[in-house]
Formats: sequence, structure tokens, C-alpha cells
Amino acid sequence: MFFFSLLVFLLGLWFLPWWSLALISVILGIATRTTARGRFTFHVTMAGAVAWAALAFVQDGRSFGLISKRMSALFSLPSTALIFLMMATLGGVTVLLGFKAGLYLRDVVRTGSLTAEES
Amino acid sequence: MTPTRSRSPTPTTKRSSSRHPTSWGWIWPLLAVLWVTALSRPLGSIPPLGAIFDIHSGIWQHHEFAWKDRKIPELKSAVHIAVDQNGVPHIFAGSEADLYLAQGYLMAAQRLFQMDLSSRSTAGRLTELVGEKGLEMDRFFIRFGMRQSIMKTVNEYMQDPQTAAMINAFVRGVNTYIDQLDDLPVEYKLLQARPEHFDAARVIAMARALTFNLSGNAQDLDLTQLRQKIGLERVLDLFPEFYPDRYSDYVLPGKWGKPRRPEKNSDFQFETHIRDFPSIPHPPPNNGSNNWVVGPKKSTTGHSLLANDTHLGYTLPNIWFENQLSCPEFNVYGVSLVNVPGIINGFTAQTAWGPTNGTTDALDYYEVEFSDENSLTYKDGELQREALQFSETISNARGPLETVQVLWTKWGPLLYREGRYGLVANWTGFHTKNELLALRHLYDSKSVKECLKAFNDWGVPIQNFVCADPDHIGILHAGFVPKRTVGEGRFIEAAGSSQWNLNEPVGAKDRLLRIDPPQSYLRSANERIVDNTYDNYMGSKYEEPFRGSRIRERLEAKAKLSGQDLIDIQNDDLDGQARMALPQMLKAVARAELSGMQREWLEKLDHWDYHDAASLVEPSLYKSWFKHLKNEIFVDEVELANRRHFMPPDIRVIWMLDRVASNPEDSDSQWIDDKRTVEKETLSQIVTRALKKSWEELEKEHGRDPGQWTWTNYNHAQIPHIARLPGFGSGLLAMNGSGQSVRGNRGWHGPVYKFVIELGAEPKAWMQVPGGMNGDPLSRDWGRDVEDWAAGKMHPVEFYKDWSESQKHAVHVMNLSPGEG
Repeated sequence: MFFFSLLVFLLGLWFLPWWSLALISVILGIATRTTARGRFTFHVTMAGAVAWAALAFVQDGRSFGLISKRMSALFSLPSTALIFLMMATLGGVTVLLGFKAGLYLRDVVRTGSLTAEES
Repeated sequence: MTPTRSRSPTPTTKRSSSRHPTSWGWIWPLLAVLWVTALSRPLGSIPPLGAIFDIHSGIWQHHEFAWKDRKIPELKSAVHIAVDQNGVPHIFAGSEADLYLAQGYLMAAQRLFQMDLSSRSTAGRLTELVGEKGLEMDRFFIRFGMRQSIMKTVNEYMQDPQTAAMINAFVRGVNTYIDQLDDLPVEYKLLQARPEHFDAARVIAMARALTFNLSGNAQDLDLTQLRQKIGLERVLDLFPEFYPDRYSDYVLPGKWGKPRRPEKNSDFQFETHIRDFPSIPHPPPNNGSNNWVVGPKKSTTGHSLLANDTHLGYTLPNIWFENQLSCPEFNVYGVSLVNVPGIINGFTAQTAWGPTNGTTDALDYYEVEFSDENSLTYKDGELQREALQFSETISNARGPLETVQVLWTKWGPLLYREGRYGLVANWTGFHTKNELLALRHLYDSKSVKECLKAFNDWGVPIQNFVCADPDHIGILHAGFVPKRTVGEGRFIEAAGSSQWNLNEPVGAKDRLLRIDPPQSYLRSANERIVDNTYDNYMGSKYEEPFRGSRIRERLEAKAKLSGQDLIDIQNDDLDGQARMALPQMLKAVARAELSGMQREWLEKLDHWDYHDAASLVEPSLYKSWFKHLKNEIFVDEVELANRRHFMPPDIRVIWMLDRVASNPEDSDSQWIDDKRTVEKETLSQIVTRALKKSWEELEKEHGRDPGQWTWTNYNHAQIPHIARLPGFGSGLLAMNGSGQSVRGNRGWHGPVYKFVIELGAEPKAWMQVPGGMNGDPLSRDWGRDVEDWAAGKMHPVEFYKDWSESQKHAVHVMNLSPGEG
């Protein structure tokens, strides 16, 4: 799941606007059939974090590290590494929320209920 | 356990991939929507992070400008561009129109954001780009009538076919680049804005910006307010029109006629009704330059030399754009003002020229009496006139924010109203001529006379232009010099009362011009132009003589000078102010009252050679001491006026120190005395008190170890990004010089361009534009040459005769050809 979602996120971030990450995550959530939701959520979240940070890192390298240097100064970060941590956070949180929303929507669609039934 | 991992209400033996949602599972879609929304919008001062860090189109996508062949639809024939090893583009075109079009294209490619920001700021449109941070500045420039002034100038410039062709071609070039843009400069991404098409008004707006920066300062309000507090006589004493010889140095020394009468109290009869003085924004008072020319008799080459460096606020990118422009009609090299076609300062194979700010008073404030506090009707002598009213809108990126009313009287725009009285500004900047045409004529000039003649078309800002051809040198105080009688323009005046009300400049016969003087050099550094033998009243707000005197001294020190000598003079860091003031301060200070460490450092000051070297502590100690001394002298007088930034000139303080030191009963001792105390303070007491206070301040700001108070740390020279984006500017620069040395380095302001040339059959020139031409903060070329510039180095100019010579030396070549891109 990690590698599959990583690939999807990389493609999405490269060719589509950033918010597509949330949409893709929702779709992944809806499509997820596993019972091991916790592990899947963790893998997908990590894939989102890695995708955004890795693409930023590659692009930064193509600009000789100048983008991370300027941005970390602009956001008063003590180290350029933190700008990539910031990207990872953006990617991770976006995917986590999207994926969890997707799982919820899947449950709603499959069970026809918006909330838990009374026990 | 994750929050969504809910248990099925009825346990089963087989777990399903779908479950009944938890009662709070709806929170996830909500949080997701909120998160995406939050990253899509600015939150207070935090920009929309999602869009900014978007991999697809945000800051991580960076396409540096590629020097590759391109098609431009509106070109008539191919244009060739070669970039030399200094990063300077050389443009070769088959016609003038193609040349300016290519220049516009290239300048936009290198400096688009700067061009956009600069042209919007003077037009009162900054808020559109930077949001509400720009509101105050926009309001001021709109009230100051800049929008009307820009349109008036556009109309004047565009009436001339040659100027219109220049501007139109340049604008087409800029717009072609904007249309071909595949990646926005990073600043737009951060501001979430887009560039808009240029037009003639945006070209003129930048020219207006420079004009305002060089001539938008006036002392009228400050002096009038001070006069209300301490009286006319004392104001005239603190701000004399002329000084004794030791304290003055004229750009054009010598007699111009019979001495005219000095200022008298009766020249200043009018008392304004204004009491609550508005704080009207003004440009830095030290915007200026150095320039000088050396004739063949005094030159090691046997031909003329010229040096020029302009002193403005440091920014990255630089306000200047170095380039060579070549077409069948001319071949010229120099610096262009961003947004403006052509070259402002530079040279051809035959002539060279360079300006300094003329600094002659170009802005007066008048009190206008309206019928009542809201009326548009105002008095003009016996007549009643109606002010013209314009409604101007300030917008941000989302739409209109507010409307500003602009009222124009016969004398200028209304800036402030107090009851039925108003303050209007009469600025020479409202009386433009065709300055662009004057510059264009320079490219054709073959001699100093032709070069200076070109400035007949010059209006604003008033400049001291030096010109040289291989065998002659000259200087002209060029532009719209107001014709004034003694005293006019010193204080707020009654509208309609002065000769300058007629907006008449001095005539051609009164032009301040010198060609080939006996001493074989001419120089200016924004100081007073002439003594009292020149009949026209020129005001009293000139730059102090420290830089100018030192340049004269260095020029006279050697019988013959070379280009390298001129570079050395530009780098001269001797502090002219310290050399005059410090001996008296050291003599007066009561050393017995000081600590051991303070006495130790005073001994070092005793032996200081007055050079503001970056590694020394002495310049910091002196500068801080002098600043506090001035404050101690005037804190009891000037502070009353509630305008502490406005102080008498340093040279007046130095004259005061000399007078009181030689005679403690001199009338100047009234200033030394602190009137807040009963006792009468002596010079020694005030000087010692100032030293103690400066020491405290230095300890507080730079630590207790005086070894850390180096000039580098005190002067804190660095170059910020033009939009002051943190991390986009230079680091701290170890740079010699101060505002009182020829070097002109005030830390935030100084020589943003330097130029030296040896004229002759093969002109040899040096130039430096700190920051280089590349305005892309994500390029490795960003901030180019800043370290060299700080170290006083210049690069040898590569001036090519034609394209074939140019391309042999090119680092990059780019051909622009007609056709669809």
C-alpha cells in the first residue's frame, strides 16, 4: 500500500494542484477494503509525507538548494532541513485527513448509515 | 487505536472491510475540508501555504531564464544579444525600435517583479500587489497627485514621435515577455499575484519614482514648525544659508556676479495658520551621488577621465540595469533605470556623462485659504477659484478597498487641511520636460558641448551633469531650477505670494555651466552649487560638504590621474566629518570623569586616521559619540518641535564646536547650554555626557566588549530584497566607508552603481552594479558581485563595436527573431 500510494501521490503532486492530494486520498479511502485500517492509514500518511518532501527535495536540488535556503529564511526556520519536514507535515496531514474522510465515506456508502447504530 | 477503528455494534466472526461509521466519524471530512481551505487562503500575515509549496506550480517549480533563441512577433528584423563574463547583456539590433523592444523583453526577463513593484508604488497601486501593507504609501502618492502627474507626463512624452516610439517599443517588449511567461517569478508565487501588462504610464511611473526620490525632500514644514517653537532668528542661526569658507565647498566656486543681499528677517513675514503639522512622507534626504571629470592636462592618458557613483537605498535587485545598446544610429553602454527604455548614465565611443543630484530646493509648501473647512473654493489674491477634484481608487487583489479624493489647486495638490487652511505642494516634479529625449540626444553627442546641449531638454529632477569627450570636460546644473527671490521656499508661504508661484525656471543666461576650467577638473557631490554671487535664491538644504571637499582634495593631491586613481578616490573612506569634529571633541572631553576602559579607547581615537575601515572600532565610537553629542546639544530645543529626526546640519554643529571652544562666551554657547537645568553647561560637560551615553548605547546594542563594536557591526551594511523578504537579501557586509566619506556607505544606502572611464580612441571603462542583472532570487546569479562591490572592486567594461566582436567574447548568446513564439 505504501509504494502504491506513494506512486499515486507523486504523480498527483507533479501533474495536478496540491489539493489533488486530498482528493486522491479520499478516493483511496473509499476504495480501501482492508480490515487493517490502522496500518493502512499509517502507510498512506507516510506515503503522502514522503511524496511531498521528496519532490520538494528533488526540485530543490535542481535549483542548487537555493529554494530551501530562501524559504527556510523566509519562515525563520533554523535549518533548511526543517523546510522538508514542513513539506512532509503538509503532505502527511493532507493525506491523513483525506484518507480518513474516505474511509468514513466508504462506511457511509456501504452501510447506508451516517452514524453508528445503537447497540 | 485510530479514532475511526470502531467496533461493530454486533460482534461477528468475520470482520468486514466496511463498518458502521462511528458517531463522530463525520469529523474527518470536515477536518479535511477545513485543512484544505486553511492551506488555500492567507491566514493573517501567513501566505496560503498549499499554493506556495505546491509542487506543480508553487515555489518548488523554478525555471531559470534560458539564454536560447526566441521568436518575437513584433520585431522587424533579428536582434542579437550577447552576455559577457560580467553578466552584462549587449544588445545589437537593426533599428532603434527593435532595440528598445528587445531591451524591454530582456529587462522583463531579468527584472519583472521589480519592474512591477516599482511602477506600482509611485502610482499608488502598491496595495494591489502587497496587500494592505501598501495602503499608507498608496494614499500618500495619490494625495500627492502622482496619478495626475504621471498621466500629464505620459501625454507630454507621447506627443514627441521619437519618445513615443521608444516607449511603445519597450512596452511591447515587456508585454511580449509577460505573454510568453511559463513560470512566475518566485515573489509572485509568495504574494499569490500575477503580473499585468505594461503601458506608457508604468514606464513614466518609475521615472516619477526616481524624480521624487531625488527631489521630493523639503525642509519647509520642519523649519516652520521649529520657528513656531524657537523663533525665526534662532532657526536662521541654526540653518544658515551660507557658511564661512572652512565649512563650505561649492560645486562651482568663483564669482558669478555681484554678491546679492543676504536673507533678512523681513523676508519671512508670513506666519502660517497651520499648527498641527502633518507627517508627510519624504524620500531619504541623502539620495545623491558623486561625479567628477578630469581634463587631458591632468590625466595620465592625455585624455579626459570621468567618474560617477549614485547613492541610493541598497536593494536586490539593483535599481540600475547595466547593458550595451547598439543599432545603426548609435552605440551606447551604461546603466538603465528599470522600467525605462534607453540608458541613463554611461558613455559612447566619443562622450561620457554622469549625474549627481542637484539638490536645489525643488519642493515648496503653500498655505491656501479655502472658503470653509469643506469647501473646494479657495482664494487666489482677489479671485475665488475652484479646486479640481479627482476620485482615485485603491484596490487590493480582491477589488476596490477605498477611494481617495485628490484636490488640485492652481499651485499643486492639497496634502493637508486644518480648518479652512490647507497645505499644498508645489513641486518641480509637476513640471516635466521631455527628459527621455534629452537622454536620447546624448547617444548622438560627439563632444562635451553637444552632450551638455542635450540637457536643454532636461526638466526634473535637477541634476549636476558632468560630461567629457577625450579632450574636454564640462558640468551643468541642469533642469527646472525655480526662479526665486531671497528667502522664497524656506518656510511655508502664503499661496500666491512668491515669484516661484509663477512656476518660472531661471533663464538660459543664468544656467550654471562650466567647460574646461583652469584647474582641469570639475566635481560635485550634492553640495551647494554656488556662493552668494549668483543672483537666484537656491535654498539652503544642500548636502554637507564632506564628500565634495575630500574629492577635491584627492583630485588636487596628484598632478596627473589615471582611471585607477579615480577608482581609488571612489573607495576613499576618510571621514570628513570626523576629521573636522573629533579634534574638538577629544580636546573638550573630561577624561578624569571616565572609566579606565573609556580613557583607553579615547587614546586610540587620538591616533585614529579618520578612515572608516570595516574592521575598526574607532569609527563606531566616533559616530555614536557625535550622534549623541548632537542630541545632547539640541534635545532641549529641537525635541520641543516633536520632530527629532530633523536636526541642524552636522557642519553647523562643527562650526559651533569650533566657536565655543575658542570662545566659551560665543553666542553659540546658548545652544550648548541645556536649558532644562538651572546651571549653564559647558562644552566639556556636554561632550563628556554624550560620550557616556554613546558608550552605554554601544554596550547595550553590541555587548560590553568594545572589540565587538567594529564598523561592520555598527554600520551593519547589507542589501535587502526590494520587497524586504527575509532571507532574500545579502548577508552582513564588511564594507568600509560612511555617509561622510566619498565611499558613501551608510549601511542601508550608498553607491548602488559605480562607473569610471578613461576616454580616448579606445575608451577604457570600469563599472559595478552590486547584485548584477539577474533579478531571480532562486538563481545562482542573484546577488552577483555584492562581495566584490563591498570590497571596492569594479569589473572592466566590455564595450563592443559590433555584434561579431561581441559574440566572440560571449558567455551566452540569444537571438531574437521575428515570428510567433
